[in-house]
Amino acid sequence: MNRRQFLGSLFAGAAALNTASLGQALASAPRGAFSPLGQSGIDARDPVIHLIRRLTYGVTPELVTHVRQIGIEAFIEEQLNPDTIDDSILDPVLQDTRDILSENGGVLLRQLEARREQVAQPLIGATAARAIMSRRQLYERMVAFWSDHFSVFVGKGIVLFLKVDDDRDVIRTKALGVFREMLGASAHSPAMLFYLDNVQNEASAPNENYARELMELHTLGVNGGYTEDDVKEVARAFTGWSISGRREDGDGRINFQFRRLFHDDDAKTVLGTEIAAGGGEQDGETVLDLLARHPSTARMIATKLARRFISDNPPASIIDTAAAAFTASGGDIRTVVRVILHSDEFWQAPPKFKQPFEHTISLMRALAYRVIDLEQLVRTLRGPLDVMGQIPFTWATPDGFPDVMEAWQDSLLMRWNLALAAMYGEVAGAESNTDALMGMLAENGIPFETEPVLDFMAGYMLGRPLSADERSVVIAFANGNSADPTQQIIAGLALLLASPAFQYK
Amino acid sequence: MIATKKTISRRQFIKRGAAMSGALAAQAALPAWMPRFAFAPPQQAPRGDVLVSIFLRGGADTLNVIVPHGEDAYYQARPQLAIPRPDDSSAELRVIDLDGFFGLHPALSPLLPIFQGGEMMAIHNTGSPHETRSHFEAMDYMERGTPGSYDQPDGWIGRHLAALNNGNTSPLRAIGWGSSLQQALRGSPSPVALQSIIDYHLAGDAAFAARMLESLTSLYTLPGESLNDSALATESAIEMLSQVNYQTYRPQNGTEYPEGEFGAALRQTAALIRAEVGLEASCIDLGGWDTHVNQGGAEGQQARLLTQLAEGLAAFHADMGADMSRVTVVVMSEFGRRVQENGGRGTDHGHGGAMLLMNGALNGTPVTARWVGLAPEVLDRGEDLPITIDYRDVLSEIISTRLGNTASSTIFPNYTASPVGLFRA
Repeated sequence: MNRRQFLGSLFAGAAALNTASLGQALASAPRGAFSPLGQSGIDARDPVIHLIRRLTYGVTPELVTHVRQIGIEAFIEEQLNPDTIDDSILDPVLQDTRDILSENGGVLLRQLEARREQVAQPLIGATAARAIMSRRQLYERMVAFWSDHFSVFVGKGIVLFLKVDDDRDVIRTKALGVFREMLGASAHSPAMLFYLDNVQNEASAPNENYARELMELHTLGVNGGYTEDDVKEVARAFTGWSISGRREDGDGRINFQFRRLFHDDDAKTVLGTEIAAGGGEQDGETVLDLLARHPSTARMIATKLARRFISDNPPASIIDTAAAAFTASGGDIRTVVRVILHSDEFWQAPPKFKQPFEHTISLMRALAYRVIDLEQLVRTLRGPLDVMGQIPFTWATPDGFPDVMEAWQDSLLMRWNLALAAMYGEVAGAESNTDALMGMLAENGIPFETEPVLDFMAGYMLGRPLSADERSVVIAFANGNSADPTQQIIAGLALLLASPAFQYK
Repeated sequence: MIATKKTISRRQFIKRGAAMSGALAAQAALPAWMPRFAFAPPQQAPRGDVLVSIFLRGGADTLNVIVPHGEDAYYQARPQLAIPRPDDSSAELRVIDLDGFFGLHPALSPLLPIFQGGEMMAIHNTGSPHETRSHFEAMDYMERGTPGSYDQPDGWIGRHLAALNNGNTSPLRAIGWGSSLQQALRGSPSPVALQSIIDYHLAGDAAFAARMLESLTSLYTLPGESLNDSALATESAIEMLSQVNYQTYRPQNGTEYPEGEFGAALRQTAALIRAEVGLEASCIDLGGWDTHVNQGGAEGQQARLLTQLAEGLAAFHADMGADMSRVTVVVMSEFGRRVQENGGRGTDHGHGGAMLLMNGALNGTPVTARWVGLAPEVLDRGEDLPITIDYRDVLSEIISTRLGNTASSTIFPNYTASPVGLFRA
């Protein structure tokens, strides 16, 4: 497809627009109670766009309109209560994934062991489709957060099949719930038990893998106050926490199973607490209780949530506040997230570099992409996500995808190429809703001329006006490309999407 | 558990556009792929070796790689996993003896001629002294070169290159193979994360791409932009790689590299070394070594990884040929594994391990070790291989002897390295 054909497809109808009038859309942005303080760049930030960029996978024309309508407070509460949001828009898109994603992993294993692709496809596809189109955006961000926190690698053995249950019954069910319940669900998840080898953890031969990562990654943190002896004792407490085998369940279903014969039922000491002999399956529950209410765990979860929503190195003040909220609420995740979203630290947060998956989705959302053919879209996105190192569920180690800029800033080239692909309509399996984009320009009274459109779109995508230096580069590139304003706008937008500013949220 | 083998195959997405302009005029006497950048200024003394640093992610069980077959306690600790003694005629696959005490896992047989030729060496009882058994901490400390400390934001290779004043201005001095840079490379002058030489360019027709790149440079170099260095490194690498005609690269001596990302990274490293693009450090990862369960012995999970490692290294050695005299390969892992096997036919996280070196100037000893045995009283915490040679001693000696850097004391701050004597005097 050449550039001219593309212009026809993406910005068809431009000429028909009323280009008559009106002012800067940003000037009309409401500036309510959350008016941010501080640095000059942050001062100039549109709070609605800031909130959308931080809380969701990125702006869409529809979402910006929605938040401006209902206001910041109402939007936060709406997003914290995803069950109240109508998400039927996804039903047709996810239709073809439903059979696989509602099945038990053991049954899938039996049916599709040699056809892993038929499971990976809907699992990754549904994740991408929800990120792009779901209206429960904060919920989807929290699902991603917990998918990293309780990360399992679908490339190891049968984890791919078991991840279907883990994603549906552990992560998605508990994403805004109580931490102890999430922790317990994960500890019983066949995917986790298999991934971290707890299925091999038996009294006669303890395997420490799950026990170590449970404390290092899921709860206390590496310097959270446990010893190598604690690792051994926790491993003993979880001996016998296993999964049902294919032989034992006629239909092949794989579920959690406690194997009493393999459990070490002697007394244990974990973090200084005695666990009496004869506890059986309860030993593990006791350990989870100890870990979930440990102050190190509150700080660990508070730090990671603040890192996700505020900055790579969140201020100590918000970690203290969020950890206190975690403890006071008995580990209620919704409460902790609410505290973070209302904090000064959130509203004054410096720009945060987007992870590759977030970035890819945000490109598509900014250009109002809709999923047309999910299978095709997964095929399209896999290559670039692979090059950037972030196909969902493929982080090999149990620490989950890193949430700091340093881990992702070396794949700029693919980000630039993705910006071109999105702008030039080459995202097979999805298409840009150009009517929505043109409608947004019209609603805001933006004449279809190069400079007003690029200024408006910069404000829409970045939440702030371009600096004089940025603007001169973008306008010069756009104008240098062609005499035709449509071509100029396309080129200018491609550059904006590839620009450093759009790499951050 | 750690494994990086991707189950999902990579697909081509961005259509290949025309390569960037600026190809050099081909020199008739040279293969077409070899652009001859000659980044070593001819007036200066020759640069040190190219460093190829291979990291086995996950904590490799090096007791089963460089096997102490002369140690009875090894066989007692590993009833299921031990590799049969070299003289155990009841076993088809057994240890390949190197020096009467240590020997190679049978999957490393492709490396035997290189050991016999004195161009490979194993160092045993080595590692990073920090006590952590966490993969993430151990890797991070090891690659920073500062066990127990996060005071240095960069990595040991990065500090080495930054301190090396050799006049090399190439944008490809330091390459990390993969989607992001290894911590060891951080702090290098313009390091590049690379997967495929061929795919490394901006999409679109050449004129548009060139203009876009120019505008991107302007945006990414605005004051205060912290992506500045990453962007400039990317842009310089695009320009230079566009001139390396990798499609036509043919390894020497009919060498075939093993399939997969590891082999591809070695093959591309070889091509860039021979193309004289100014490469000084190449970091390659091989994952999957966290063998808590079903590790296997002479065959199985770990043996398959060792096959990949051995075939890759042997191919690289053959391909480099005489150029091996200016290349140092070092292989390391974040820790070794527990001496006693576990009940799942695997091994849990341990401490000391082994490193491998490949270089033309080694002292000819196949295995260097201050071996103290495997008795519980000499083991770390009574169960793990102790460290009697700090890995920084090995790296310091490489840096000063082979990489031409006299400032090796600044690369491992607060540490005074003791020479091991790995190289010919």
